[in-house]
Amino acid sequence: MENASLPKRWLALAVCAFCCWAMMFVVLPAVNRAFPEMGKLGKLVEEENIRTGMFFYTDVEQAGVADWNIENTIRFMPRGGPESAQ
Amino acid sequence: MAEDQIKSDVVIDRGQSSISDLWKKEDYWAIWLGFAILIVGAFIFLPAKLDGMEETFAKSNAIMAAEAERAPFKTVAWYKAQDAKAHFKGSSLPIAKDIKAFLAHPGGWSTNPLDSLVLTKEQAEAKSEKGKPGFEKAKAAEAEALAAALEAEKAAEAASFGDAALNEAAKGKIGDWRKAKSATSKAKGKANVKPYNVIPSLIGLMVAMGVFFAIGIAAMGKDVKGFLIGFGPVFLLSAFAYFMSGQATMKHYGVGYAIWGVIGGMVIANTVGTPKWVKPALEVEFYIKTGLVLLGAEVLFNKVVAIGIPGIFVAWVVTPIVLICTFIFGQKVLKIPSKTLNIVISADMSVCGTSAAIATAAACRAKKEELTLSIGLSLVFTSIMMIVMPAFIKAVGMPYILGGAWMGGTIDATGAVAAAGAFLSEQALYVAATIKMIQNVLIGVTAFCVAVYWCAKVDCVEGQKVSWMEIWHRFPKFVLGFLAASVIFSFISQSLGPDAGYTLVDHGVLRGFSRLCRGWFFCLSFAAIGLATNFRELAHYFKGGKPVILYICGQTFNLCLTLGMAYVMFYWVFPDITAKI
Repeated sequence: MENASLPKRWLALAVCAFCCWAMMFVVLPAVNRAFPEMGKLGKLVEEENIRTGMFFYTDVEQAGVADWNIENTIRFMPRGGPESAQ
Repeated sequence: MAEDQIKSDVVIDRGQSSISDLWKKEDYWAIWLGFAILIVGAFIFLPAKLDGMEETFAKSNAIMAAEAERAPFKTVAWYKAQDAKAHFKGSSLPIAKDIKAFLAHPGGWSTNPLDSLVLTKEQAEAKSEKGKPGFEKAKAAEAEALAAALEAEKAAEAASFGDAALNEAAKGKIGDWRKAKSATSKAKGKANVKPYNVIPSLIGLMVAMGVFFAIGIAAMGKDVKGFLIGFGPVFLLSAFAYFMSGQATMKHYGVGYAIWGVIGGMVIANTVGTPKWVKPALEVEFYIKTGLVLLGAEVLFNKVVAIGIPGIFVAWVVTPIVLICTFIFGQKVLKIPSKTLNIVISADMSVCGTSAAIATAAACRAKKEELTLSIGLSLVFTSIMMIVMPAFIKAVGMPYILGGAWMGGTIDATGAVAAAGAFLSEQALYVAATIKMIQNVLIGVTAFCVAVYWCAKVDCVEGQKVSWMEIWHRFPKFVLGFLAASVIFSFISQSLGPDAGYTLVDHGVLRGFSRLCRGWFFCLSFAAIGLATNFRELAHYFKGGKPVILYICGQTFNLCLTLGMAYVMFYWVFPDITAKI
């Protein structure tokens, strides 16, 4: 692209922007509609507000909740009832 | 000139040790700047006094211990005590809210891009009004579910918890109440929408971050004026990356800011071209290393035991085996010419995706195109696995906890793991996210081992014996900052105890401050990588499709080994833990 004229380079930028737009608003939503499981997952992501693109555990609120629940379960593991009395 | 070109291509440059390195070298400046943020965070959050925190912790822990002895399942009182403790978070301090507002990035949106930046008072009120009926309904449903849970628990208690059917019924009703409680919490958020405008804070943040990095740039003797002029567009591209990743469909597919930063930058660089005046601000390594020092603080070693021995086996035994085997496979079978590309893809695929790729790339001086390629591969396979794995688990009737452990150990990004886990069940989400968190902690060990191996074995002539001093000269020093931050914050968190550590470190210094800065630093680095990457150079690394073959073969091995280990640990060796989650 370095040797192309300026209008051609701007046109290429516009084409790339259009492709992103089409992917975002046409292609992927169509995939969601075509595959019901995908649509369900998308709905869940919206409802739970899961930031799926985040890569580290501190970036994801649900990971904090999971850690808290699991850690407390391990610390205060239920062991009551008649079996433990025996 | 050619040497300068090679230096600008690698994620990290070669260090030469002298005392002046402390104020002249990028690695050390990354440590100083990273620690400056961590120290400020520690001063803000660690001395904070939250009213009644200690008393509530003591009282709640006593209740939970007593309930654990009384019943064979988690009772209503057990959960209420846990909720009382969770109420205390460093991030709920007034100053933490101000910090969060200042460091905020563009938020979520669906069809109207403005929703990402501005929400007026009138719009917020209208949204709140719309959400109020739902909140009232959810509250009523929660009260009803709680009454049913208490009744079922009472029935189980009347049989001295000796009737398995009554115990299971009580567990089920308590589970329903937890779901109803979670729904109420979400409905409350929809009924209390607050107005926002992130544009002024973005402008302020751009200036603050520009000045922050300019301190290091000035000390290293680089062009400060050029850096400050070029920083604006790099920051704007980073904000754009966050903006794009917040779009609803992008969230469905797990397309995060990292990939948008690279794509956005590459599109500009390869069409209209990156303006020359922006180039002094393309300090990829400086942003990455500073971000990695902050990431080090989030690598808390006490998290390794979060789910007991099963978690350690699934995350800390399988992962290194897969990492090493994939690397050897890439070298011996696929004969990938670049060892750095091989190890970055292996770490990306086996450890935890983008974060591991960044840390490994910096530790072994990988080229920025190699990092870009690894992250791209990770994105594609994460999106596929996030959708396919829960569907497969449901289709074959695999137990959800096993499925959660499997996904936690194999899907790259934590966000995608959480979504896939939540798609199965709450328990699957807890197991999946916790396994992933334990795997995240492995980043520190991976980066350190890769850095040492590269200094001692890869970056030397065959047969040459490298002295310890030589290893020290070559060692990427920022890794020491990364490890120091990890050790210091692990120690602080451990010494505060699990509850105060969670409140003041995990949900204070880290989630309330340092990770917000770290997110921006990584985003800046990805935008800078994109702006400096040529499509043709990237295609060269993709030759023969070997990176894809490596990823597929490694991931297949990872899937088999993780599933086997998860089954053995969660269903053969420690079924008790599985039953109580």
